Amino acid sequence: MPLLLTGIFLTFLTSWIGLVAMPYLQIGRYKPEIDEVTKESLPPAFSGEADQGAVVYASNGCIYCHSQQVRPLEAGSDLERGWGARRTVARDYMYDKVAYFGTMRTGPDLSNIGARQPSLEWHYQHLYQPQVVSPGSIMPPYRFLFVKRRIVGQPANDAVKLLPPDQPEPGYEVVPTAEARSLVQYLTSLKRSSYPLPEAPEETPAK
Amino acid sequence: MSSAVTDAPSKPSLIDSISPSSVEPVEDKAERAEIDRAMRGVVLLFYGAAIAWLLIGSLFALIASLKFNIPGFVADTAAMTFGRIRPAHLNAVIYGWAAQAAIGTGLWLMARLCRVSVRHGGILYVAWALYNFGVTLGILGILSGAGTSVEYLEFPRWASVVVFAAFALIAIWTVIMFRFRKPGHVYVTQWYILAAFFWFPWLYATANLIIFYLPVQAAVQGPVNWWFGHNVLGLFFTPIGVGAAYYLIPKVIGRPVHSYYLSILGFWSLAFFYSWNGMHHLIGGPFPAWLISASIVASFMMVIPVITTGINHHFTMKGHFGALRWSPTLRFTVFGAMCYTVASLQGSSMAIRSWNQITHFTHYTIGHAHIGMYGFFTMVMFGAMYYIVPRLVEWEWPSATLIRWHFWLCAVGISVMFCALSVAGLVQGFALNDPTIPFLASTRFTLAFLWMRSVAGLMMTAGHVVFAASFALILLKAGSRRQRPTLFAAPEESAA
Amino acid sequence: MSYTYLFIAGAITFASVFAILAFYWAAKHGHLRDVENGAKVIFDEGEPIGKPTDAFPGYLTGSTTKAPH
Repeated sequence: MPLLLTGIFLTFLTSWIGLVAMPYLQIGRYKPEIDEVTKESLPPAFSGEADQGAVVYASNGCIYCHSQQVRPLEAGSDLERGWGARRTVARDYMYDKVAYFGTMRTGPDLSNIGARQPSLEWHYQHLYQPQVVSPGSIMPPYRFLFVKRRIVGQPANDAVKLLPPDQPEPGYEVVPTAEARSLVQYLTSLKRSSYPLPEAPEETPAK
Repeated sequence: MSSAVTDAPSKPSLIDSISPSSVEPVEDKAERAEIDRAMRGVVLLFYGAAIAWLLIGSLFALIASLKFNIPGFVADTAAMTFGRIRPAHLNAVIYGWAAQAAIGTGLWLMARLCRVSVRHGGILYVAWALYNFGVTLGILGILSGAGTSVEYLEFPRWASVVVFAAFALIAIWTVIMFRFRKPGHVYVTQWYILAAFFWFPWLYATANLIIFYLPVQAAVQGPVNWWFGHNVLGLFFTPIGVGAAYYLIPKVIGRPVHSYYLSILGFWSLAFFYSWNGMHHLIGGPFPAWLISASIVASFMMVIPVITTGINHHFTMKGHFGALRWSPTLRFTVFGAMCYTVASLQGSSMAIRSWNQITHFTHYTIGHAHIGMYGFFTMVMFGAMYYIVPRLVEWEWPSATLIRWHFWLCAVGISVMFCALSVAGLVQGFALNDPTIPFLASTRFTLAFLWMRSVAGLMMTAGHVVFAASFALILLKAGSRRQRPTLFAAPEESAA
Repeated sequence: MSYTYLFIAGAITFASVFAILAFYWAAKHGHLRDVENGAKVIFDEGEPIGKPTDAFPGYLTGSTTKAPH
């Protein structure tokens, strides 16, 4: 029995050291890079609202269709699809509270969706009516993140401009909830590999 | 052994002797019966809860699967959105069904092989209640939006703490039972179960602590998440499934394992290599190259324990494949053991970088997950339940027809699911890798196969309902009480 | 980067040394003398080798004569 337990313990310990302790030592203690020219701190930190948006992202399980990791040229066609200027590296995630790398691409990678689709309007439309905004998409609609209400006085500033056939009837407007607003803030701040970092030079896919 | 021919002390009346001519020493049978009786409440509770969660998890799976083809299906309720139903399915079948089937089977096998009765069995009832409370909290948490979106660890903190506490109780109790075992050789199944129950609480605690309690930078969470995720499969479910097969196959056909030495080799190579595999879920990701390479190498070394186990089971079964006709346990267990070999070899192949480039992020991975957790683990658990439950309840399964339906619905179902998802994944993967093919086309190509997957899932769910019915009937002691429980009868032909 | 190689080399050395020591200890204490008999431990006189212990219900009492498929 002592041999058995020791063996069971030690085999496990080696993997703990390798896959838990070593990653902490190697990729868990980053400091941001300060760009020499613009003096901005890279990667940029998330705003408070974007951080809340990340929680909405988790709460609705976006990772089960979307990834957030851009693979290098030799490992996939991510760069050739325009999903980033370069691969993502560990430092790009240093300000995330929880990492949402994802393991499925039923939908496209979102690491740089903020750079590809900077318009808040587009995101609200897309969350409300994905099949209209992207014909052929199987993304589910997230209408429960919005409220349809009667217009009182002036229409709200952030009322969503929807496309037919989902436009509200006259006198009604569709407004995003606080959850939708923070989620869209989070999505539009996803520009993980849109700035250079010394450890990750930009790669141009060969044409 | 004592010569029990002349003196026949009071036999346990509920268990009939088999062939009147042979005489069994009462000690063995009585001891077995006593242990079975002592384990009855606990194991049946875990099994019953497991089956209930299997039904719930299957329902969630069907809803999630339909959403691929009908995106608007129950999409307007937040609790039913795909991103919540899908992790609810996963957690219900992993922690609700599979883990409890594993616990029930592991406890019974440990008790049998250690030949001890339950000591302080009250702990296990508390653990059962705590565990199911935790899982219920967790599933409700996910559906209400408190899920963490960390795969295999989606339970909110207040639920995972409860689950951990329950499991720790079970693990401690298992080690105690092992400590007080009757002297004698420790069979390989006991090694596997002891190891599994020892490793899991450590895995669960470490992963939860590091990802949710300590302020580690996000990139570290990837390796820790998948160190955990893969080890739940490889160091908890696989040992219990393989360990159960090492007991059930020999016991059912009455023949010892072909090469016991190989089984020891299999155990230690599994213990050492499996735990390094985790990073193969993150190939191409933003992680140190040496770590990913180490996991790829380890994924390959897994061929050693897998082939070892496969050889062992095959040669043990050789000449006895006819037994598949008359033993439900064997049918499920052998099907499961074969899927283990297939799933593992497939897994090793998926770690090759060039192949991974195509299959990563696709349904191919989902197919692999199901052939492993369902084709292998779930089917072996069904086999174990068919063996163990009659011994606990001291009654027979009421209907061979129900058993047959259960087997064929599930076997055909998982085979169709595996093929559909594998083809879908490959089509998707090749499309994704060709940047001239627009992204939306990659999903469009998969839709017909996803319909097939829903149909397959429907078959499997039907199989589960059939099994639940069998389980309820045997608990109620339905069916005619036969003169001689056929469980313990020898078939006419000694071996096919 | 060099720490990584050091760690890998160290881990392999440590694992090999431990494995060799464990093997030696097991051999010394007689664990390896009679390996194959370990497989027989799950059988006893009540459930001996050669006697199957599971079957479909009703299959062998004569209530059904054909084998379930």
